[in-house]
Amino acid sequence: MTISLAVPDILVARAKSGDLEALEALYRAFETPVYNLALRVLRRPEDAEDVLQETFLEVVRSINQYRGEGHLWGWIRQIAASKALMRIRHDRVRETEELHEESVVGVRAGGGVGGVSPGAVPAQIDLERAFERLSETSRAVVWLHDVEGYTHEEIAEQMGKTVSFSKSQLARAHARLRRMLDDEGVAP
Amino acid sequence: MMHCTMDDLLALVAGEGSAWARQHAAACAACGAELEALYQRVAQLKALPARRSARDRWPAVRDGVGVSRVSPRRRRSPDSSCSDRSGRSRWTRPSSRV
Repeated sequence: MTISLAVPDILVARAKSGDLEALEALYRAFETPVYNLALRVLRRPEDAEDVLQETFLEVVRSINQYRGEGHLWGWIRQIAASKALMRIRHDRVRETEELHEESVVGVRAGGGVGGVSPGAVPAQIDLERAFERLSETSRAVVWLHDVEGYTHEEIAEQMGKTVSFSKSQLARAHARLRRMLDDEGVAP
Repeated sequence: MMHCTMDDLLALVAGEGSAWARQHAAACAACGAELEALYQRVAQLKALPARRSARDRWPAVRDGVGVSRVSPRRRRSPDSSCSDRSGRSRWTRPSSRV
Protein backbone atom coordinates (compact mmCIF):
# COMPACT_ATOMS: atom_id res chain seq x y z
CA MET A 1 0.00 0.00 0.00
CA THR A 2 1.61 3.23 -1.08
CA ILE A 3 -0.27 6.38 -0.29
CA SER A 4 1.15 9.82 0.14
CA LEU A 5 0.32 10.92 3.66
CA ALA A 6 2.09 14.25 3.65
CA VAL A 7 -0.10 17.22 4.47
CA PRO A 8 1.01 20.84 4.53
CA ASP A 9 1.49 22.41 7.95
CA ILE A 10 -0.80 25.26 6.94
CA LEU A 11 -3.62 22.78 6.43
CA VAL A 12 -3.12 21.42 9.94
CA ALA A 13 -3.05 24.94 11.33
CA ARG A 14 -6.28 25.78 9.56
CA ALA A 15 -7.88 22.59 10.83
CA LYS A 16 -6.82 23.49 14.36
CA SER A 17 -8.50 26.85 13.98
CA GLY A 18 -11.73 25.07 13.14
CA ASP A 19 -11.74 25.58 9.40
CA LEU A 20 -14.25 23.03 8.21
CA GLU A 21 -12.79 22.80 4.73
CA ALA A 22 -9.37 22.05 6.19
CA LEU A 23 -10.86 19.40 8.45
CA GLU A 24 -12.55 17.81 5.47
CA ALA A 25 -9.26 17.96 3.55
CA LEU A 26 -7.61 16.03 6.40
CA TYR A 27 -10.42 13.52 6.27
CA ARG A 28 -9.91 13.08 2.52
CA ALA A 29 -6.16 12.70 2.99
CA PHE A 30 -6.43 9.99 5.62
CA GLU A 31 -9.76 8.25 5.07
CA THR A 32 -8.25 5.43 3.00
CA PRO A 33 -5.37 4.48 5.32
CA VAL A 34 -7.69 4.65 8.32
CA TYR A 35 -10.37 2.57 6.62
CA ASN A 36 -7.78 0.12 5.32
CA LEU A 37 -6.25 -0.40 8.75
CA ALA A 38 -9.68 -0.94 10.31
CA LEU A 39 -10.80 -3.27 7.56
CA ARG A 40 -7.68 -5.40 7.75
CA VAL A 41 -8.16 -5.80 11.48
CA LEU A 42 -11.95 -6.10 11.67
CA ARG A 43 -12.64 -7.56 8.22
CA ARG A 44 -16.24 -6.37 8.00
CA PRO A 45 -16.65 -3.24 5.86
CA GLU A 46 -19.43 -1.85 8.05
CA ASP A 47 -17.22 -2.15 11.14
CA ALA A 48 -14.35 -0.48 9.33
CA GLU A 49 -16.63 2.36 8.24
CA ASP A 50 -17.75 2.82 11.83
CA VAL A 51 -14.13 2.98 12.96
CA LEU A 52 -13.41 5.48 10.20
CA GLN A 53 -16.25 7.67 11.42
CA GLU A 54 -15.35 7.33 15.11
CA THR A 55 -11.71 8.07 14.35
CA PHE A 56 -12.45 11.31 12.54
CA LEU A 57 -15.01 12.41 15.10
CA GLU A 58 -12.16 12.24 17.58
CA VAL A 59 -9.70 13.84 15.18
CA VAL A 60 -12.04 16.80 14.65
CA ARG A 61 -12.67 17.14 18.37
CA SER A 62 -9.04 16.71 19.41
CA ILE A 63 -6.99 18.17 16.58
CA ASN A 64 -5.73 20.86 18.94
CA GLN A 65 -4.07 18.16 21.02
CA TYR A 66 -1.84 17.26 18.10
CA ARG A 67 1.36 19.15 18.85
CA GLY A 68 3.14 18.51 15.60
CA GLU A 69 5.54 16.06 17.18
CA GLY A 70 5.82 13.29 14.63
CA HIS A 71 3.80 12.81 11.50
CA LEU A 72 0.10 13.59 11.66
CA TRP A 73 -0.60 10.13 10.25
CA GLY A 74 1.07 8.60 13.31
CA TRP A 75 -1.31 10.52 15.56
CA ILE A 76 -4.40 9.66 13.52
CA ARG A 77 -3.29 6.06 13.15
CA GLN A 78 -3.02 5.71 16.90
CA ILE A 79 -6.61 6.88 17.26
CA ALA A 80 -7.76 4.53 14.50
CA ALA A 81 -5.92 1.55 15.96
CA SER A 82 -7.34 2.31 19.38
CA LYS A 83 -10.89 2.45 17.98
CA ALA A 84 -10.43 -0.81 16.09
CA LEU A 85 -8.95 -2.58 19.11
CA MET A 86 -11.73 -1.24 21.31
CA ARG A 87 -14.24 -2.76 18.92
CA ILE A 88 -12.49 -6.12 19.26
CA ARG A 89 -12.56 -5.89 23.06
CA HIS A 90 -16.23 -4.97 23.06
CA ASP A 91 -17.20 -7.76 20.76
CA ARG A 92 -15.64 -10.82 22.28
CA VAL A 93 -18.19 -13.02 20.58
CA ARG A 94 -16.06 -12.83 17.51
CA GLU A 95 -13.24 -14.54 19.32
CA THR A 96 -15.07 -17.73 18.39
CA GLU A 97 -13.20 -17.15 15.19
CA GLU A 98 -10.31 -18.82 16.95
CA LEU A 99 -12.24 -22.04 16.64
CA HIS A 100 -13.34 -21.20 13.16
CA GLU A 101 -9.87 -20.55 11.85
CA GLU A 102 -8.61 -23.86 13.17
CA SER A 103 -11.45 -25.82 11.64
CA VAL A 104 -11.76 -24.15 8.27
CA VAL A 105 -10.65 -26.41 5.50
CA GLY A 106 -10.04 -25.09 2.07
CA VAL A 107 -10.23 -21.60 0.76
CA ARG A 108 -13.46 -19.73 0.96
CA ALA A 109 -14.83 -18.95 -2.43
CA GLY A 110 -15.28 -15.38 -3.43
CA GLY A 111 -12.32 -13.39 -2.37
CA GLY A 112 -10.93 -11.39 0.42
CA VAL A 113 -11.75 -8.30 2.36
CA GLY A 114 -14.38 -6.64 0.28
CA GLY A 115 -13.38 -8.90 -2.59
CA VAL A 116 -9.92 -9.69 -3.78
CA SER A 117 -8.36 -6.83 -5.62
CA PRO A 118 -8.34 -6.89 -9.34
CA GLY A 119 -4.84 -7.28 -10.61
CA ALA A 120 -3.47 -8.73 -7.39
CA VAL A 121 -0.95 -11.46 -7.96
CA PRO A 122 -2.09 -14.98 -7.01
CA ALA A 123 0.24 -15.32 -4.03
CA GLN A 124 -1.14 -12.06 -2.66
CA ILE A 125 -4.69 -13.27 -3.07
CA ASP A 126 -3.93 -16.42 -1.14
CA LEU A 127 -2.09 -14.56 1.58
CA GLU A 128 -4.96 -12.09 1.80
CA ARG A 129 -7.47 -14.91 2.26
CA ALA A 130 -5.28 -16.67 4.77
CA PHE A 131 -4.79 -13.43 6.68
CA GLU A 132 -8.55 -12.95 6.86
CA ARG A 133 -8.94 -16.33 8.47
CA LEU A 134 -6.87 -15.34 11.47
CA SER A 135 -8.68 -14.15 14.57
CA GLU A 136 -9.26 -10.43 14.97
CA THR A 137 -6.60 -10.25 17.66
CA SER A 138 -4.06 -12.02 15.49
CA ARG A 139 -4.90 -9.86 12.50
CA ALA A 140 -4.53 -6.75 14.63
CA VAL A 141 -1.09 -7.78 15.90
CA VAL A 142 0.17 -8.85 12.48
CA TRP A 143 -1.13 -5.75 10.74
CA LEU A 144 0.07 -3.30 13.35
CA HIS A 145 3.50 -4.94 13.66
CA ASP A 146 4.33 -6.09 10.16
CA VAL A 147 2.59 -3.45 8.07
CA GLU A 148 2.16 -0.36 10.23
CA GLY A 149 5.50 -0.80 11.95
CA TYR A 150 4.33 -0.79 15.56
CA THR A 151 6.70 -2.26 18.13
CA HIS A 152 5.54 -5.03 20.44
CA GLU A 153 5.69 -2.52 23.28
CA GLU A 154 3.32 -0.18 21.44
CA ILE A 155 0.94 -3.00 20.55
CA ALA A 156 0.94 -4.26 24.12
CA GLU A 157 0.13 -0.78 25.39
CA GLN A 158 -2.67 -0.28 22.88
CA MET A 159 -4.17 -3.69 23.59
CA GLY A 160 -3.75 -3.55 27.33
CA LYS A 161 -1.69 -6.74 27.17
CA THR A 162 1.91 -7.72 27.76
CA VAL A 163 4.78 -7.59 25.30
CA SER A 164 4.97 -11.37 25.54
CA PHE A 165 1.33 -11.60 24.48
CA SER A 166 2.03 -9.50 21.40
CA LYS A 167 5.11 -11.54 20.49
CA SER A 168 3.37 -14.87 20.96
CA GLN A 169 0.33 -13.71 18.97
CA LEU A 170 2.60 -12.68 16.11
CA ALA A 171 4.49 -15.97 16.15
CA ARG A 172 1.28 -18.01 16.31
CA ALA A 173 -0.29 -15.97 13.54
CA HIS A 174 2.69 -16.45 11.24
CA ALA A 175 2.78 -20.15 12.00
CA ARG A 176 -0.90 -20.34 11.04
CA LEU A 177 -0.40 -18.32 7.91
CA ARG A 178 2.41 -20.64 6.89
CA ARG A 179 0.25 -23.71 7.54
CA MET A 180 -2.69 -22.29 5.61
CA LEU A 181 -0.49 -21.34 2.68
CA ASP A 182 1.24 -24.72 2.77
CA ASP A 183 -2.16 -26.44 2.70
CA GLU A 184 -2.99 -24.47 -0.41
CA GLY A 185 0.34 -25.32 -1.94
CA VAL A 186 1.33 -21.70 -2.19
CA ALA A 187 4.60 -20.32 -1.00
CA PRO A 188 5.58 -18.52 1.10
CA MET B 1 19.38 -30.85 15.27
CA MET B 2 17.58 -27.98 16.91
CA HIS B 3 15.92 -25.58 14.48
CA CYS B 4 14.81 -21.98 14.75
CA THR B 5 11.38 -21.37 16.20
CA MET B 6 8.99 -18.85 14.65
CA ASP B 7 9.94 -16.51 17.51
CA ASP B 8 13.60 -16.85 16.49
CA LEU B 9 12.79 -16.13 12.85
CA LEU B 10 10.58 -13.15 13.65
CA ALA B 11 13.33 -11.74 15.81
CA LEU B 12 15.74 -12.11 12.89
CA VAL B 13 13.32 -10.30 10.58
CA ALA B 14 13.13 -7.53 13.17
CA GLY B 15 16.93 -7.40 13.29
CA GLU B 16 16.93 -8.59 16.88
CA GLY B 17 17.73 -12.25 16.50
CA SER B 18 20.27 -14.08 18.58
CA ALA B 19 23.71 -14.89 17.22
CA TRP B 20 22.83 -18.58 17.38
CA ALA B 21 19.64 -18.09 15.35
CA ARG B 22 21.47 -16.00 12.76
CA GLN B 23 24.22 -18.56 12.34
CA HIS B 24 21.78 -21.44 12.27
CA ALA B 25 19.50 -19.84 9.68
CA ALA B 26 22.55 -19.20 7.51
CA ALA B 27 23.70 -22.81 7.77
CA CYS B 28 20.40 -24.71 7.82
CA ALA B 29 18.60 -24.94 4.49
CA ALA B 30 15.19 -25.51 6.09
CA CYS B 31 15.44 -22.58 8.50
CA GLY B 32 16.98 -20.39 5.81
CA ALA B 33 14.05 -21.13 3.53
CA GLU B 34 11.61 -20.47 6.37
CA LEU B 35 13.27 -17.15 7.07
CA GLU B 36 13.12 -16.16 3.42
CA ALA B 37 9.45 -17.15 3.27
CA LEU B 38 8.79 -15.01 6.31
CA TYR B 39 10.49 -12.00 4.70
CA GLN B 40 8.39 -12.54 1.60
CA ARG B 41 5.16 -12.90 3.57
CA VAL B 42 5.76 -9.65 5.41
CA ALA B 43 6.64 -7.90 2.15
CA GLN B 44 3.45 -9.22 0.56
CA LEU B 45 1.34 -8.06 3.48
CA LYS B 46 2.82 -4.60 3.10
CA ALA B 47 2.09 -4.69 -0.60
CA LEU B 48 -1.58 -5.57 -0.26
CA PRO B 49 -3.62 -2.90 -2.00
CA ALA B 50 -5.39 -0.28 0.06
CA ARG B 51 -9.12 -0.72 0.41
CA ARG B 52 -11.39 2.26 0.14
CA SER B 53 -14.62 2.83 1.94
CA ALA B 54 -17.64 2.38 -0.29
CA ARG B 55 -19.50 5.12 1.54
CA ASP B 56 -18.46 8.65 2.31
CA ARG B 57 -18.50 9.05 6.08
CA TRP B 58 -17.47 12.70 6.11
CA PRO B 59 -21.08 13.99 6.24
CA ALA B 60 -21.68 11.77 9.26
CA VAL B 61 -18.48 13.00 10.91
CA ARG B 62 -19.41 16.62 10.26
CA ASP B 63 -22.96 16.09 11.50
CA GLY B 64 -21.74 13.97 14.40
CA VAL B 65 -19.55 16.75 15.66
CA GLY B 66 -22.58 18.92 15.02
CA VAL B 67 -20.65 22.11 15.21
CA SER B 68 -17.89 23.95 13.47
CA ARG B 69 -15.41 26.28 15.02
CA VAL B 70 -15.26 29.82 13.83
CA SER B 71 -12.31 31.30 12.05
CA PRO B 72 -9.74 33.18 14.15
CA ARG B 73 -10.57 36.43 12.34
CA ARG B 74 -14.21 36.20 13.29
CA ARG B 75 -13.32 35.14 16.81
CA ARG B 76 -11.45 38.39 17.40
CA SER B 77 -14.47 40.51 16.60
CA PRO B 78 -15.52 42.32 19.80
CA ASP B 79 -19.22 41.81 19.21
CA SER B 80 -18.84 38.37 17.76
CA SER B 81 -21.40 35.91 18.95
CA CYS B 82 -18.77 33.25 18.50
CA SER B 83 -16.60 34.18 21.43
CA ASP B 84 -17.26 33.80 25.09
CA ARG B 85 -16.65 36.59 27.56
CA SER B 86 -13.03 35.68 27.99
CA GLY B 87 -12.50 36.01 24.27
CA ARG B 88 -11.85 32.32 23.81
CA SER B 89 -13.38 30.62 20.86
CA ARG B 90 -16.30 28.35 21.43
CA TRP B 91 -18.18 25.91 19.33
CA THR B 92 -21.04 27.17 17.22
CA ARG B 93 -23.61 25.52 15.07
CA PRO B 94 -22.51 24.85 11.52
CA SER B 95 -23.20 27.47 8.94
CA SER B 96 -25.53 26.87 6.06
CA ARG B 97 -22.64 25.88 3.80
CA VAL B 98 -22.13 22.75 5.79
